[in-house]
Amino acid sequence: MNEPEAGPNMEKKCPQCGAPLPAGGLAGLCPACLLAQGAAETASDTPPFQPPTVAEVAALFPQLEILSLIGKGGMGAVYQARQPVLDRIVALKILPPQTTGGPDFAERFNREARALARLNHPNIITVHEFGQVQGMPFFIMEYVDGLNLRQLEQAGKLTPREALQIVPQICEALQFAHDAGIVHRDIKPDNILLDKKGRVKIADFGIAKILGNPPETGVPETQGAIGTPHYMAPEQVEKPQSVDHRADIFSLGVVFYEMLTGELPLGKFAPPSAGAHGVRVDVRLDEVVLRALEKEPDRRYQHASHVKTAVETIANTPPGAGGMGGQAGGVPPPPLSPPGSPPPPPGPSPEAILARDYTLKTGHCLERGWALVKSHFWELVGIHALILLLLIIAGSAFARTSHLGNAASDMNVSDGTSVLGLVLGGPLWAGLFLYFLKTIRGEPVTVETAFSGFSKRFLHLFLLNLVAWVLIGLGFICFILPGVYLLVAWCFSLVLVMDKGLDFWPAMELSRKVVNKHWWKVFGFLLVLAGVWWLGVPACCIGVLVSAPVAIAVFLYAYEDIFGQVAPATPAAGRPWAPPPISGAGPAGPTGPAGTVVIPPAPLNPPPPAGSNHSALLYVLIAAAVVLSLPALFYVIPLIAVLLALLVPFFFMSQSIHHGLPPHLAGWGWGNVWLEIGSIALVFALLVLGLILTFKVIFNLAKPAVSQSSPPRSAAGTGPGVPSSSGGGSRFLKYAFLAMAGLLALLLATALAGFLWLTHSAPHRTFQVFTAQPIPPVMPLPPQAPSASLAPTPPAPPAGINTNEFNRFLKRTRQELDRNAIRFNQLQLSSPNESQLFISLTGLQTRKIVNGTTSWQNIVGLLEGTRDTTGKWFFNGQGQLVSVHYDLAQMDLGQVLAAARWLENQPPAGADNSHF
Amino acid sequence: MSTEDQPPGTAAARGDIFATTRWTVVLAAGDRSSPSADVALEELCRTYWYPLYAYVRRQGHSREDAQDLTQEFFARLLEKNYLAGVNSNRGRFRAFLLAALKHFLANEWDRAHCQKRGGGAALLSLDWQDADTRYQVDPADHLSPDKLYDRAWALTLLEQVVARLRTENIAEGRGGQFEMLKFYLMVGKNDIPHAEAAAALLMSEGAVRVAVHRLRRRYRELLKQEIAQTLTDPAQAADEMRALLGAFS
Repeated sequence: MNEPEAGPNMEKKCPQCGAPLPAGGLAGLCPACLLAQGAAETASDTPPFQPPTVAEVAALFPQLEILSLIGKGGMGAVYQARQPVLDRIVALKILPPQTTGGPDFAERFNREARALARLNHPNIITVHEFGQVQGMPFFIMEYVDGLNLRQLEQAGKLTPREALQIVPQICEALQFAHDAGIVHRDIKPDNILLDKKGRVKIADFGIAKILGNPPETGVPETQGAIGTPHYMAPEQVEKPQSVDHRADIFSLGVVFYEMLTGELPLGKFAPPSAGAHGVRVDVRLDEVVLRALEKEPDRRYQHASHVKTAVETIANTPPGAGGMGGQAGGVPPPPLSPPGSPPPPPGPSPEAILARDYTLKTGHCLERGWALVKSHFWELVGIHALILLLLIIAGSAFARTSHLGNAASDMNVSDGTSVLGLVLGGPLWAGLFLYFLKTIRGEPVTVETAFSGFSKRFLHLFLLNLVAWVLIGLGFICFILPGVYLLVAWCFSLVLVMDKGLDFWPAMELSRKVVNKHWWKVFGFLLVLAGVWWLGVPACCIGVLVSAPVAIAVFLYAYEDIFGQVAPATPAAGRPWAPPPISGAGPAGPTGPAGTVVIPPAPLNPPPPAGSNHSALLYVLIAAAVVLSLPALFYVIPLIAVLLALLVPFFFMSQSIHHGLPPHLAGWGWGNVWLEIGSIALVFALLVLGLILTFKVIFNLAKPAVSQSSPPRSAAGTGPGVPSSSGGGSRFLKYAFLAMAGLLALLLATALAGFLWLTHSAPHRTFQVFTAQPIPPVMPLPPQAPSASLAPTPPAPPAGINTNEFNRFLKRTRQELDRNAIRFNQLQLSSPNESQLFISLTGLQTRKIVNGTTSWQNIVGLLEGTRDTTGKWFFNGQGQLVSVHYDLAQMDLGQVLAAARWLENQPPAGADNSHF
Repeated sequence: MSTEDQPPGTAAARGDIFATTRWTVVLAAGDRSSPSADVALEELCRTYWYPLYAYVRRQGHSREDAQDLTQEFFARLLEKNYLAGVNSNRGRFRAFLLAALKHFLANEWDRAHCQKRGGGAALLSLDWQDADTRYQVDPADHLSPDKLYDRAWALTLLEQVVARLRTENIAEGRGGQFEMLKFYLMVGKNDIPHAEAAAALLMSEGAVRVAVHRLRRRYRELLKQEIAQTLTDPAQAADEMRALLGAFS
């Protein structure tokens, strides 16, 4: 019945696992499967586990109403039940009696189960309760109305597109659990459930570990290498004790492969896109699946969140010119390549780029560039300032910083310093561009990336710089226009050498040919960029530190659109990727942003090591700013005052917009709005003063050129007309200054107006916060004996409070406590800042049901856990002090204050929280 | 390549920590000659010589060379030249054998030696022809020699166990049943439906289920016994099984 059909010379395959059958005495039997059977977990000297009947279970759990037996397997039996008290349907899972665990089993079980119960995530089946009854461990869990992945596969209802929607949810759940230190160890399609809404729910988290053979007892019989053999990672088979979370990633890879192809990846298996199984699979998925299935844990994805990002990127970007048979680019992080070999250039080949057309959407690039700089503000501005500083040192900064710079003046100023600038300019700029480009693509960057121009393609970058500028200079000399043409045409060549690894001349040619298709558009775009760059100049040239990175970011977004992975789609208003429901056929999903822009940094990721670069770059930025003002050393005091006055409110403004006012400032009296306005006026005055002085200095520098009759050399802040006689010099100064002052005043007025508008429109965040009195910390209530009498009805809210809001708040708190079967002894309120209310509970105890009797146990030694979005629980590792933080910003502040005051006047909870 | 049903010196009960396995007998004897140790060693060698041959062949030796080498190696082994030396692998016969073989191949390969011995005194009568056929047909060319050795070892082991199981069943008059039910010994993701087997054997499905369960249980017992014969500590059986399973992944 199961004999593999094969001729005498054909290789036979095992019908179970698909591996080739060796010749020999095992006629038709597969050694791998046989061995797996030998290692399989059973109670070989006891009869197979017979789950209790519904009636028996009902007798064991009087507080539940047992409805039916849902399923049974080697790991126990699951029943559908109802909790009458809470009126909800739950799943009751009963495991076989653990007689071989030893006396420590109960202790260990409680510890493990408690850790599982703390896992609260939309994609993980929540554990409500656990315990042991008649030696059988049990769990009361969330009930999921749906099917598991195995059933869906067998019903043939899984397309690769649906797999792409399921996998990210699994990754989220895995990452969440791994962050909490819990490894599943038994990921397989039977454990992955899908409810009717298409949401993934992973079951049996960590149960494998609970039931696993403890290493200390050394029981001779094999209780299984934990997990189902075909989904186990190699290290899980060979060294089960040294398994970490990466074993789950391997199992995920196996499940993914099975979802895509319907077969298990065993022995020599074909990549999913090979289409050997009759289903068309995107070739970019190959890399993801194969990397997850790496035998060495170090070669796999190290975090489930990385797998998620990779899959979502592929799902987002439609297969373009490089797609279904081309390269699999744009999947971060890049796979390990043998040392010494140059990494293959990402994205499409030059021929492909030349062959296709593009549209340059200036506005869209501007949006994205601005968004990028805003989100990575300190990094980008800092690294740009650093490179700029170095370029200044190299002596050629001012001539290079504008794309429409005056090459003619370069040729006139042919002194020694420009040679150094020529040599270093190319690599420095290329490194800077690469840093920005990698940030755009979401790849990890370090400060070294910005200097990789020196290590990577130094020769070509130098040659490019030299040749390009020489030719552009010649072009300018020949009646300017050819120079302008070349300047625009070669604008992308530097990035091309760096990003795609081309040689300098091919890069220039490619840039020229591509730009030629829409030369005028690119020209206009560069003009806009120059405008953006110059916008920063009026603010004492310091603003350039911000506007220049923005210009660079915008430029590189355009580069990505033109030369990147795919032809740019019509720009959508960057909606976040949302998985369409599994059951519906649905459109392909929202068109993602053009190019290879990846998901913005997810909050689930741990703080990147760039965080340490953060403060370093901040210091660099300040140092660069100070250094840049060196020319005006003689006017040092007002300028430093200007710098401080500029940076400090900028910092706080950005901070307050993003995070809410830091709490310690509340004590400084910043709540006084008049003080705010006064400080802004002071800033304005200082700015004007500094502007006069700086301008004078720069005008002094520009003086020799003004008196010549040759075309005027533009100084910073061109004013109206350039009278060349010295008599008009002072009038020129006056007019120019008035224009600048006017512009600056306008700028500041706009900033002030914007600031005021922002604060007015968000009362609970900023402005009212300034004026309202902060809630004083509340004295802890004296501990009272738990009252025996229970208030039967919930209390009425105090006057003036919206009843619904208040009741909802109470109900939420009660649900949280009930859900965890927790009671407390003391309630303490505090409010560190005006938008958050902290409720501290001390003397926590949790309910424990043993053999049907209820007892209360102190909660000690718990770790930090996070609850749902309505509140955050913080557990002190030492013991009892626990806080529940609710962000009540959604409620009206007045209501919150009154509610808090009402709560503080309540007596503490009794035997349960029903009075609440 | 059949073995006796009750090798000398083994206790019947699985999991009895005082059970002496063949390997413990051999090790205990050490350099001293003892007839039971000799017999035990010879039996072990007779059972597990194919993996060695496969390893030697994988090293690139021709058929004739491999035969000579294997024969020579066993001659020395049976003279207990290696038992005194190798220490670290004493717990497992499989690892010990491989280490000894590698040691032998590295140091003592000398054609002249083989010739001097007279072209291999056949101390063990081994079926070279069958071995070579098996080696040629083996599809696992991409494996390292060590892994190939492990795989061959596992195969040999399983063949032993299945053969024993078959013998037992035939003795109890259930030969035909065994041939049908032996496929249930494999673990797979698809449960083979019992209906077919029930129809073929003219038994009820419930009876088939029970028979399968018994067969699996007996198989596991025999497998553990067989593995334990090559270990000093039967509690290591689980690790050994895992290591062998690892050779197939």
